[in-house]
Amino acid sequence: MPAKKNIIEFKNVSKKFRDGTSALDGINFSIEPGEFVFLIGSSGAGKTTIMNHIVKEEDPTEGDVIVDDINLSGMKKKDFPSLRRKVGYIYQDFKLLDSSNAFENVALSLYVVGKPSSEIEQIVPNLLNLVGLGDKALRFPKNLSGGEKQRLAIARALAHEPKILLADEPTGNLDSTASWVVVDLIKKINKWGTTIIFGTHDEDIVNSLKKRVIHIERGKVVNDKKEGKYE
Amino acid sequence: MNNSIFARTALSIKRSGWRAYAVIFMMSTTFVILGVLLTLIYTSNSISVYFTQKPEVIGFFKDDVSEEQVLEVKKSLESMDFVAEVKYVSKEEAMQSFIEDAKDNQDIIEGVTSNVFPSHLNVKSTSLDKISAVGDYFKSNDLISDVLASENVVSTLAKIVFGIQLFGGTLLLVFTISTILIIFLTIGITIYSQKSEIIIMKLVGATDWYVRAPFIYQGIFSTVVSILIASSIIVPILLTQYQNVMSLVLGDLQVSSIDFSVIAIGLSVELAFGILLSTISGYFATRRYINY
Repeated sequence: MPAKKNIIEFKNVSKKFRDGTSALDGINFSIEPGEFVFLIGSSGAGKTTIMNHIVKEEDPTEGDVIVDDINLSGMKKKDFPSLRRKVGYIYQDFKLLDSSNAFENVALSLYVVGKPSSEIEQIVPNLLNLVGLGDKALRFPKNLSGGEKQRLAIARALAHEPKILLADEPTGNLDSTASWVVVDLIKKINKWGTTIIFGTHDEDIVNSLKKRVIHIERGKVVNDKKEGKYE
Repeated sequence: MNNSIFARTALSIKRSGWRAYAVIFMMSTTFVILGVLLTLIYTSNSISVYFTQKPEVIGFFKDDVSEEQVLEVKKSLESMDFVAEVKYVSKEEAMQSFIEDAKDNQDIIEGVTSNVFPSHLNVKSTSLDKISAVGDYFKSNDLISDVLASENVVSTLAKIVFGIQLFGGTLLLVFTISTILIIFLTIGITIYSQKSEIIIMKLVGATDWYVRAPFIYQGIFSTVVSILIASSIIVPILLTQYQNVMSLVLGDLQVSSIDFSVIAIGLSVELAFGILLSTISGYFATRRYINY
């Protein structure tokens, strides 16, 4: 059986900020399509910086980041949108448009890629139903709970059917019940074949899912285990 | 949710709130000043053209010079390439002209004979700098008793007009730069206030143009609205009060009213120029403030 091609590769990636701070130091790992990977580590370890490299929000000082067979080092600005449409990104602070309702927040991802309104009107309700917000399409983020906001952010991230879903501390602002609803949803998305990179501090979530764990500390990979635990 | 560029521009303007009104107020004021300056430059140019097109020298003949001799001199002047027009005014014509001018004062007119008025030639040169050549010709001619040239008056006026145009042009440049800066900074502030939305749009794969276009269009919209507001103030004044104001300022000097076609051309040029400036300004502002 031929080896699966990697969907994400970090080859000796280092990142130094202008003030000389080292955020990443010789990072090497690869992720296969459809994998579920936890990125764990203390605050400031470099988890978010790794995710930002995958969407070309940041560039490495050294090394190569390869996403879906494309080396991002030589990527031109005009090609950033096509990369970002392959990657869904959810955040601890949700990053929703407060002035738009739930429907409009999800529709934004489709509008920016030029989908016609008739298609958007079909896709968005399906996505909202998927995350359990079908009856809250007209609600504004301020009228949603934390868990609902995060599910809305997931619906938005899924709108253009990304190959990769980056979840940066998605349960960081949620209570336990809401956290598990979000985790179950992300597990479901992974089962459909989407590659997941899940950055978290939550020991319970990491230990109960028994997925691959990459442990980052001070910008270095200190551990990379197939069925890892929070250590 | 309407996703057209115009709907997104309208939304961006709506979200700018009071800033949009403040910008339109500032820019309208600037365009009113620009309009006044353009009118000033146009008027000074008209005055300049009026004077430089009519540089005149009058050569008065001695009493004993016959009409044949005068016509000889006229013929000689007409053959010169720097002479535009020569008009012969006989003693009788000069007297008639005087009587016409002094018709309200019969005491002066009584007893006046044509012998009092010398016959003369009114000579218009092709340009202001040729006026002295005509003067020199008269001075060297023995038949001429006196020469009256408007050379000094015209050249002084020309200097004043040039000064007005230079001053007006400089102010025009200053206000044009200030318009560009207003648009540039306003777009910057608007972008800053919508920073989180821009970040989200970028992260969900919006193209560079999708994010930048509403801000550029907003700049163009503000400029066009400001020009129209400024024009709605200036144009009626120009059409109805221009001549009154000019006669108040310039006295006897007759300046013709501004033709509507001139105003229409000026307005079109201002609109085209404003749209160009706001597009350039918006392009650079979005490049500066939206880092992709």
